[in-house]
Amino acid sequence: MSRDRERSEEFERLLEEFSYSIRRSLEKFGLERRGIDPEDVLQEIRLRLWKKFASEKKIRSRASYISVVVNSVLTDCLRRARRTEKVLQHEKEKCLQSAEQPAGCFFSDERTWRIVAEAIDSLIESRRVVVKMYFLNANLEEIAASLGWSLDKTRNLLYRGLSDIRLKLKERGIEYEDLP
Amino acid sequence: MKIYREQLRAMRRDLTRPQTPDERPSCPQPEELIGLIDSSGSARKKAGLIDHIFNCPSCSREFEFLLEVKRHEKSLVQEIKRRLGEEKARRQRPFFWPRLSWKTAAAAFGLFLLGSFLLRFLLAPPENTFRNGAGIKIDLIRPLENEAVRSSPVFEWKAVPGAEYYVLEIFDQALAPFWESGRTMENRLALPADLVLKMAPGKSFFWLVTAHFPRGARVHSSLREFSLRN
Repeated sequence: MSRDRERSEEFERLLEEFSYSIRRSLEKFGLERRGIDPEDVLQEIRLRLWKKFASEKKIRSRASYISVVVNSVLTDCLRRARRTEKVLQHEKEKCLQSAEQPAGCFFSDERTWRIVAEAIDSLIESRRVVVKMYFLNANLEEIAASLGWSLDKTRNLLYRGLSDIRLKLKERGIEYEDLP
Repeated sequence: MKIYREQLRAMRRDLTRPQTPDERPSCPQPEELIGLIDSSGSARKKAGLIDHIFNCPSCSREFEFLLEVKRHEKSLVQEIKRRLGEEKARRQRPFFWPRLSWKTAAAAFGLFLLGSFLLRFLLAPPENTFRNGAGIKIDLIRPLENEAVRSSPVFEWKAVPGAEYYVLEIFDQALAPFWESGRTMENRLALPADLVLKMAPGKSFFWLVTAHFPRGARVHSSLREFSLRN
């Protein structure tokens, strides 16, 4: 009985840590301002996971279903955010028209970005998708898993893609360094 | 002029924003963004999605958010597995468990023979009596894991000796119960046509078989994912 309680408390703590991470991600990407209430999302994920994985046996045999539960909650929550976005669309467009350029967005940056975007778009498809995902903050493992390629192949394509970009940018007077 | 990786990432975020107002009707559905991370869809479709996300501020924000959540989810699953593994190991090998040697192996073998003899001739119930489901496993045959099946799917599993009847259950993508068969003695079952019509092609479903034994004991199979072909 006490073992069950221990296990239940431990699982509760793990879920708490997971919830904290999701809350931070929601704040980081500003999804809170788009009609997603982090508490609703977390509560829903917690409830669904708790229902499915209340006992140790279930967790062991069905750990992969955490993914199914999280995916389904995330889909609902992004749908809600998009509906809110649609309502705010008109106001937003008005703001965009009257707004000044965002901070840090100078003409030189725009020009540089256009050159970089052209360089990326001119890559062959296999290198282009890897490089684009890389600049979308995906790491090598995630890119490989998403595209269904081996880690070696993905690494190879990324290095070649970045090297092509480096050359193309150099021709236009920009030196790219793959450093943070 | 020199630029660095993080500078370039920030530039993409800042400079795609004013150029593209949020035109969501042309944006991929949330399931497609999740599917891209979970590696579903053709290579051509994935390339198209990545091109769109790269140039769309709203989708890139959602995509980066999903990537982060998936990372946290992966750590959660690994942590659960690790802790359960540790607990299992603790249970399987108590602190007084002796180190393996020829002597202990011989003693264990002797005990095993003695135990088998006792169980077989003194304690065993009549052969056709099922005591419990321990050690019994249901092997699912078809559909295979993640298989996209045709419009009239047939579910098949290995017959379990001693089982009185089986029940097949179908769950939807969110693992909510979707359908349950009645009792069946066969180890295969075709879904009713009217049920198949209610199942959206391309969507994930899960199936599970439960074998029922005399005296109320039962054994569940693992849960397996499948979908209907488009």
